[in-house]
Amino acid sequence: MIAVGGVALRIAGAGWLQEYPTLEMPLGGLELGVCVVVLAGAALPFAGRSARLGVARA
Amino acid sequence: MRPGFVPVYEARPSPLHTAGAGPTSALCAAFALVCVLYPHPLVLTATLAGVVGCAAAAGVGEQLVRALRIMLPLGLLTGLINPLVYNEGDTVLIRGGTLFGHRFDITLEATMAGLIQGYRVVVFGMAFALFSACVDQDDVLRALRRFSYRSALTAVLATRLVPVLARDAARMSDASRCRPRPAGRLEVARAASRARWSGPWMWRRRWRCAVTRARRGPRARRGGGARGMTGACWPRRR
Repeated sequence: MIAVGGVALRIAGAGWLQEYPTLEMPLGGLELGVCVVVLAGAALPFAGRSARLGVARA
Repeated sequence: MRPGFVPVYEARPSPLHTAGAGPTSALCAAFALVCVLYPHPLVLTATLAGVVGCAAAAGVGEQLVRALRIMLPLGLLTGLINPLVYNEGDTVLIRGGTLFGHRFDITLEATMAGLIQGYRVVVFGMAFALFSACVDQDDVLRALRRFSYRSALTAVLATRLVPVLARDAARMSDASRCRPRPAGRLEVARAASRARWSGPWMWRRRWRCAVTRARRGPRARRGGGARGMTGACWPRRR
């Protein structure tokens, strides 16, 4: 989920950063979307008994 | 003994530990992939929060804090070097002199770019610290040996030897601190060169032990190992 979402949003143009000649970085919906995807993907293994990284044994 | 900097796998009843090497490695690789793809500080902060949250929920938060102690100087070093060697940018903070034809101007943009790259290095390293703390290296070897046995063996040996060396260094440091007057570096070097038991023979023994253990796995019974290996993994002394 994190990898697919991260690649897709990167292709969509999220999270670019320009350092030179002046520092510019966007802060919009796409960047917040990446953050939500990453945090949701990190919380998924601990979400419940049935969502342990797709593995049934605990 | 003081704990080392390198996270070491210990079996725990957390979802990350019980899921096996494949799913947990995939999660850590996804965190690392986000660090590679995105230089944006907000995304890197979310990734760091995800890694730290996973580690805390899996019960290895303390190991990640110890890994952070070794990653932070690396990130700061990256952040310090960039403005010294690269002077692009519109906002000049410090106007330095010229040495060997290179003008040492420190700009705000180069400083920020260096700090962001250092932050990226730290988050990337933390993803691999989570991997080292939550994934059993024997499971990784078992999964990868069908594709590339020698590469998998090399990777597993590296990940197994580094914690062993860190633990040995911590023990030596503890032993040194027990002395009323700590020995000087010259005395330590002399003692190390005199001590045959800490010479190449011990290194060979450690290497043999690690190879034997990586080949058999931790749960394999002793004796009857691979060809050329003794049961207790002690090589013949010449």
